[in-house]
Amino acid sequence: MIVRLYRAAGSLKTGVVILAALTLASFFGVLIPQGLDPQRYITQWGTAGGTMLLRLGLDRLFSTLWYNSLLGLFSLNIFLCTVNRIISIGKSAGRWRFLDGNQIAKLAFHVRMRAPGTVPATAETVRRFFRARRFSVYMNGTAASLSIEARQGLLREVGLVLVHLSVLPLLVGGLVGKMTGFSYSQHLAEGESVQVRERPFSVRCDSFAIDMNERGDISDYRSRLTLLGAAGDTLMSRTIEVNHPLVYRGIKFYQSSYSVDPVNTGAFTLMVTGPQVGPVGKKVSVEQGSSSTIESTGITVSAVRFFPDFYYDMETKTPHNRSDRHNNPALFVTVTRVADTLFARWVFQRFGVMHHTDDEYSVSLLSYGQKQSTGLLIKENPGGGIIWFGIVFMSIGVILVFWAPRRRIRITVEECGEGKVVLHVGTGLSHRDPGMADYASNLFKRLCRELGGTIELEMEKNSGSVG
Amino acid sequence: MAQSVDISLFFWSLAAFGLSALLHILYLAANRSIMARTATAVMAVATVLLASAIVARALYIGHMPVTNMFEYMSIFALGAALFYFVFVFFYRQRAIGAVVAPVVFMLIVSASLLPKEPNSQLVPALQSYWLQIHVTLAALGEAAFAVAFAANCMYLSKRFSGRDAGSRFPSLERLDMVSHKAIIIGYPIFTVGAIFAGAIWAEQAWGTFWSWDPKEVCSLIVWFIYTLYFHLRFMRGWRGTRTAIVSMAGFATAVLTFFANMFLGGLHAYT
Repeated sequence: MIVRLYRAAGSLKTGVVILAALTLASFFGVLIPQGLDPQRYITQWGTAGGTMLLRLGLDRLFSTLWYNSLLGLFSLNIFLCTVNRIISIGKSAGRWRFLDGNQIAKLAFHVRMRAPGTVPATAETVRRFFRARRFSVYMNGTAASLSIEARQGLLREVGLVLVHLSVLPLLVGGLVGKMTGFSYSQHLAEGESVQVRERPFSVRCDSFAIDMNERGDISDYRSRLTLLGAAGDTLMSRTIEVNHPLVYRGIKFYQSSYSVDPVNTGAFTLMVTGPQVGPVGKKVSVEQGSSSTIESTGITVSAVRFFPDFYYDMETKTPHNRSDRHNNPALFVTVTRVADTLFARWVFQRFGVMHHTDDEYSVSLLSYGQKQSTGLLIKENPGGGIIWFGIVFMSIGVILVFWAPRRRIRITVEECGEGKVVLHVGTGLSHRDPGMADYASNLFKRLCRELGGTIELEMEKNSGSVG
Repeated sequence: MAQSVDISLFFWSLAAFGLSALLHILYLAANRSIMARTATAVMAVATVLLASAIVARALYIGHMPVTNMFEYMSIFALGAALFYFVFVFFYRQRAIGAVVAPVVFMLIVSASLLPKEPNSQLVPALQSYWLQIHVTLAALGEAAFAVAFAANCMYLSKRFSGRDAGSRFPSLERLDMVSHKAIIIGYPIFTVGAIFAGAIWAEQAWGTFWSWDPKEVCSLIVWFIYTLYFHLRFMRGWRGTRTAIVSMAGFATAVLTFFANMFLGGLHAYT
């Protein structure tokens, strides 16, 4: 029972079935939007369809137990297949099966040639010919008749093992990272610091900048970060950008996003015009919630309240803030002199000066300092190294499997009198290597030239005699 | 270098690819080898023109032009054209050009319909040398799959229609071989370039090797299908029609991958 189970788990048929199931399942994950609100699936697919979809976990396919079990079964199957393969390679490694002329004649591609010389001298030339082309050459026989086998393809076997085994570190690395690592987003304003989770150090944002090109497009996000020890000592300081994270003791700090502080702003720059300050007006800088007096006029300008995304509710007839985004920045400003209020209105950065006929004074909001916070992704991935291992080995493996040659040439050399020998040279045309017939034809012609002989017969199975 | 130069070169290459495709089809019909040689020569001119267009654009925008669909499609078509020469000169399969050349022409026509405005300012996430490696290799891998697809189409039409355009179609075995060779070339490039180079870059830029983003999953499905193809062919002995259908399913998914970010969203949706 256990043997049958082992055979089934490690069989190619099982592997093909699992791979086909994974392919089909993954299509669902692509075509069905993932991670939406459950109600949306009900709305879109109907009650029965939506409920079924949710029950199967197709709304979060890649984190479902059944999909991950398929991945697990797939890696188990690959592992067992590879173990079986390694065992079979080991068993056949030291065994050579030499073929005679009749057996070679039955191979898919076969050439018969006649050349001057003795069997040992010809065999030596054949050996050198194939050794020069990086074949391993094995011989067996007598001075009157010799069988030779030339093999090439150890790298391809190594590649096959690498490709299959490297699936394991890829999946295990992912699993280790998911189960033991952590990942979270952290917003930090300039000068602010925060303790890093599960670590005895903190990270401080010294500065954050958004670089723009001359056309006003964002060209880069940069954060100067300093890592501080428990005693406040500087451990490391570096500027990070997108694609260039900071790495410290297994923790990576990525430049992930940014935000503009919706409440706390820098100073507002206002332009005040009116009888006391003249028609050209005076620029005044005021912090939020404070006042500033224009010299020699006795006029005080106050920045009372700020909304980053102002809107006016027509029903309640009250101003509101719609969001934390700076879509429609508005400031409630008052202009006073002694006890008289000369101006008390909302001013809008986007709409310039808004004249009111009953006002002697007007105020416009020219600009204001936006306090930006850097958005960091702080991550520890203990499985990262394992994944790297898998990537490197699978990349090497896949290149070896498909681009390294795998060939087995069989030759017999026999005396035929008059100081001549006859050679049967053949190879199986594996469906792994569809170009083998052309390769073998050229190779055997070269061998014939090297031996100074002539080709008497060239035969490719399925296509008949061509020589 | 002015931007119009690369666009002009692109349209000249389009015309040359069109002419080459026409000559290839005429070669099949008329069975004149001079026509085949002329078609290959025109194909060479078209390829040089397209390569020049891509170089001119790179010089104009200051980086490898792989940042929008038009540029990707151009590299894709160039890759397919280069594989045409691999098959014509290395494997001596001139007749396969009769299918590859129209495929390249269709790719270039599709590219011509896309917006051609270059991204002179890349978003910060795309400012990495991995962009060139990942996108170029993905395009080359998919171009090899396109060649395989062309051979599959030729195989199935010859297998089921009984007509083989004036006997100039290669034998079914040769077509099967061409498709297989193309997949053998494309699979490692796709694995390393589209999957692994993408994963390494994703880890650098987004902090995770794999996000199950629609485009990522589509690429994984493509990889699954071609992996299935190899196992069915090598271990189960599948050949001809059955492997052609699996291979075509792989290419169809590769086409879906190409558009995945446009209608399925995800992290790859930059524009």
